[in-house]
Amino acid sequence: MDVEKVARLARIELNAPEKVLYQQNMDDILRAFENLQHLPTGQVQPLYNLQEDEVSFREDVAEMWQQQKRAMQQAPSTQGSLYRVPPVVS
Amino acid sequence: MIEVDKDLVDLIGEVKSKPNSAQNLVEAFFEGSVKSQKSLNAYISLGEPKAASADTALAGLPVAVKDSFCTMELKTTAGSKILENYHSPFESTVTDRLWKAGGQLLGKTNQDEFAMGSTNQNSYFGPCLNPHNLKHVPGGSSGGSAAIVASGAAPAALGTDTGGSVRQPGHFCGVVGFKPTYGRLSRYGIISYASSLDQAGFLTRSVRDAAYLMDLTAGHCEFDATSSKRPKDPYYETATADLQSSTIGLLKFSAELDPACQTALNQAKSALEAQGHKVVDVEVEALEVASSIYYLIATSEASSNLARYDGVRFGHRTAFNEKELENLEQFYAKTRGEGFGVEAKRRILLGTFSLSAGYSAKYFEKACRARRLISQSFDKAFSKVDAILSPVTCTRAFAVDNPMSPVDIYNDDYLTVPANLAGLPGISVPAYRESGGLPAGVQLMANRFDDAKLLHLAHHLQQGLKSVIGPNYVEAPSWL
Repeated sequence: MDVEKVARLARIELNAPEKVLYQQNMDDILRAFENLQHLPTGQVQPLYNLQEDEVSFREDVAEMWQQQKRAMQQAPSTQGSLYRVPPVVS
Repeated sequence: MIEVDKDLVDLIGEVKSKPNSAQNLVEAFFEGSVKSQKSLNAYISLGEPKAASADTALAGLPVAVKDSFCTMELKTTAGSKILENYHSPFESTVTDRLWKAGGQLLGKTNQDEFAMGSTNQNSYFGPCLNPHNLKHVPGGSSGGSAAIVASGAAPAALGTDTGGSVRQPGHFCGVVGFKPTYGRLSRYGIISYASSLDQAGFLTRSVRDAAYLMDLTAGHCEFDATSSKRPKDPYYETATADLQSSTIGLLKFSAELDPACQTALNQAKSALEAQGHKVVDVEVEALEVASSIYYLIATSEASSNLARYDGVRFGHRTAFNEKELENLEQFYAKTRGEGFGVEAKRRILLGTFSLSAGYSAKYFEKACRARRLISQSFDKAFSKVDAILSPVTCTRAFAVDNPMSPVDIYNDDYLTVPANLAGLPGISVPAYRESGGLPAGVQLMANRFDDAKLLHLAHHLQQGLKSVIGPNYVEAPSWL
């Protein structure tokens, strides 16, 4: 596993000591997890979700929400009802 | 004056019979919590006492809440720098139901960041300590909730359990830790770690307290698509009804136990047999690789769930200079590199790798296939037994300066994670404590949606063990 490549995929900047630490950690963890590869799973279907037959959806109905202001206040930077982000187009 | 040998149900009964005592008791819990903070660091933020209404189900008594639950009162941090100043604009369903039942918020408890950990040492707000011995951890990730209940300064607390995060700290701190069936309590407003495994739970002084709180909080919630529509059971009534004898499976496992954990298991087995239950051996397939299965699935889901922390809509944002910033991805990476702690980064990296092109079949999908094997194996076991008895973990509370590696810590969870992988209800019950020593509990698990049956068995087990283990609470703590 190439930890720098994975950190790029995860959008996490790592400093030099972190790269060394996590490379070692990942190598150790994946070595320990090799025990799973010896388990015969054959044609067993993956179990992703315990509510396979029970997931309950609700109607998609727009409602007025009273807490919009408080929600916007959690953002690091806003302008009116918009979030401010760094320029994405130069 | 807080009487630490009384449980929440006792206290509610007393307040209802003497309504004038309610406010004094409420204030005593807040004062005890404030005083405990210097020794235990069990809270990330503390609430203020409000008027107690004795004529409600919770009689105005306060409940401590893990900081993974979004609450309108106090901030919600999940133990992370990235949410250091986050004030939720909504209330979680479970806490909302507690407040509607007359409860009030005692404080938001310390935890491992994003519920990732078994020691509480992964909190941005400093570690919480074990009230039985301040040189030991309280467990995690709901360590603050377990520690404050064990300390006597909270009558009950909420936690979350993704891989044992309620049951393990309950075991480490000598209190009851109950994780209901997946889908039984709403996850709405709980900060997500691994959505197919996360479940709310309770840290309490007694099993019947957990049953009482289940009555107030269980049931369908339209804001959680995985919340079950099955009618809820009368948990308290069932838990405290006259004992029904059952067949209990004693889980076969290979790891060596700490002697106190072995004594706890032996005492629980003897107590169950003395109560007329039949105890038989039971095996669960793939148990020895359960930690590998769990950590691949949990971290994969976490890598997706935690993608939302991008410094745009809430939480920490890197201080950037527009002229030096190369692109938006660099902004995200800097924000997340600064905002997440060591363990959160480790798990996001592992999960990202497990889901990445070329590796997902070998890791994530393989783990999900193995998860079905474990789930099917439990189905088979529960066709023969009503509940399964096991240790909670193989050790008691680790020393604060324990030299355990991440792999060691992950492997220590292998007896708690199966209940999450299969969605089962599980409970840890205090079962042994040497004089002046650290407590040890045992775990009972039952089939999905057999929460009431599990609480019944666990309640009577706790009663049966009382004469053997004596008081489990911290006696005469300096903070009360």
